Amino acid sequence: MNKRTTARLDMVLWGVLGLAMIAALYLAFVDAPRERTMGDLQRIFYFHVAAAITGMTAFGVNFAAGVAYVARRDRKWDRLALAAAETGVVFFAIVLITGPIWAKPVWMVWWTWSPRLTLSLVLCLLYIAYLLIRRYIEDPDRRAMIAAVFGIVAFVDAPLVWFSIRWWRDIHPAPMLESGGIDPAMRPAFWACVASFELLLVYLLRRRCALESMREEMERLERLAG
Amino acid sequence: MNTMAYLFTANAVIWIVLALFLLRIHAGERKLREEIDRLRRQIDRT
Amino acid sequence: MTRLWAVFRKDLAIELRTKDALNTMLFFGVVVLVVFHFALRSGDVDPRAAAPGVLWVAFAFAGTLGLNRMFAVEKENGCLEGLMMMPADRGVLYLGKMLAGTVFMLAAEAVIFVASLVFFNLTVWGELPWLGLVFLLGTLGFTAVGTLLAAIAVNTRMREVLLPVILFPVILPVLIHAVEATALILGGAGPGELKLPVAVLAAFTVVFGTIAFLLFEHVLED
Repeated sequence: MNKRTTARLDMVLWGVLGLAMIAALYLAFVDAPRERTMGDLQRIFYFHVAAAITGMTAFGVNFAAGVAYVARRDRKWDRLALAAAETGVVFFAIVLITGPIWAKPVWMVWWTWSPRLTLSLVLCLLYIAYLLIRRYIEDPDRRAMIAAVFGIVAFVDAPLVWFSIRWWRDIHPAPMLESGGIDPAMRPAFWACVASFELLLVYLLRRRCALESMREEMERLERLAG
Repeated sequence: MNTMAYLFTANAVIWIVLALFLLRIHAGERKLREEIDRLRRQIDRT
Repeated sequence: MTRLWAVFRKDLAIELRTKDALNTMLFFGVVVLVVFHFALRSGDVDPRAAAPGVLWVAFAFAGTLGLNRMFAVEKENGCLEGLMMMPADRGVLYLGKMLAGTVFMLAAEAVIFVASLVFFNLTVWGELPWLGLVFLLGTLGFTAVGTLLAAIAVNTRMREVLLPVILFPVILPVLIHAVEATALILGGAGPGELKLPVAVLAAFTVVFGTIAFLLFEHVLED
């Protein structure tokens, strides 16, 4: 793909992303009906859950890129893996901060060790560990390989964590999502938020990967300049 | 009203976190671009 | 198979000559027990409720120490390079180290466990076989992923410091099931109730053992 096509694609991505965001905000805050018991508070839910789903997507991308790196040893997969891990942590930071803000008025507690919340926390810890490992390895090729291995371990671990907490610690009422799904009237808002965040993820991954290639370019030039 | 405060805080957090992340990427890009330009000029001179 | 045995014996021999790691593990495990006694103010708690958690935390800390030591020693004396020249699959190297680590951890666990029986005033004759099974499977799960992550940690600039940080989040499923299984046993539950945790611990070992077996060679320095 030549440069101009890429630039055009970027513009299209920008435009679609902007439109999707505006649509999502409108649907979530104006169009979606007020929830019966929680009132307007429930509107936190749309972006909160969208952030969680998008964060999971990012970690999935990290896993896939890690596998690709182990198989192909092409540095572009490492850049993608790093971008995905960082973006995923950002999205899960959003989940973890908005979670308690929602839980406090609804459940009267800041935190419950419910499977969802706990998994979010553990995922955050796992991928912060991933970023720590990267920080403390100098050699780029070794860093890429070791990070890929840890990323694979972390992603395989996630479902195990999930089921472990679910089997032993599921004493809290399941969030509204569980029972019978979402009210049809709320679906457009929900899916619009998910779609707009997923688009945002694509955009952030592209930017973050580009940043990483620039860093590699700089390191190459530094070696040239001596 | 209390409800609105929670709703507002949560959304403020969401967009501030995202904005900070974008700003960080942006700042990194700018710094790297300057550095790359500087290095390019330096290499061209020698 | 003979090579696996050789790696395993080598780690065992190094350790048994000095017993550095083992002694430290034992001692640290007992220290953790004492610390927890005060942290939990154990006078007020039912010992059978508190013991499983305290025990496994002590095991995990001791195990982390042991794994770190196993790789730090080799990093110091350059033994890992020698081992890597061994005409064998690096996966075999992993299995040997994992088994050696498991043996050390189990040895430490036995002593820590006896100390905890004294501290918590527990009598457990009938439960011993089941406890042994859970300890074995929990430890295997721990070392299965712990050996891989210890090899990762020792290759970073932070060395040993990094291991607990990257290992504990990964090990959570093992910890949860091992603690719950131990609690079930101490609470007098029948073998039927132990099926799930035992199966999960075994599954964890197999899953991460396989991943580590396949990927261990990429983690070692070339």
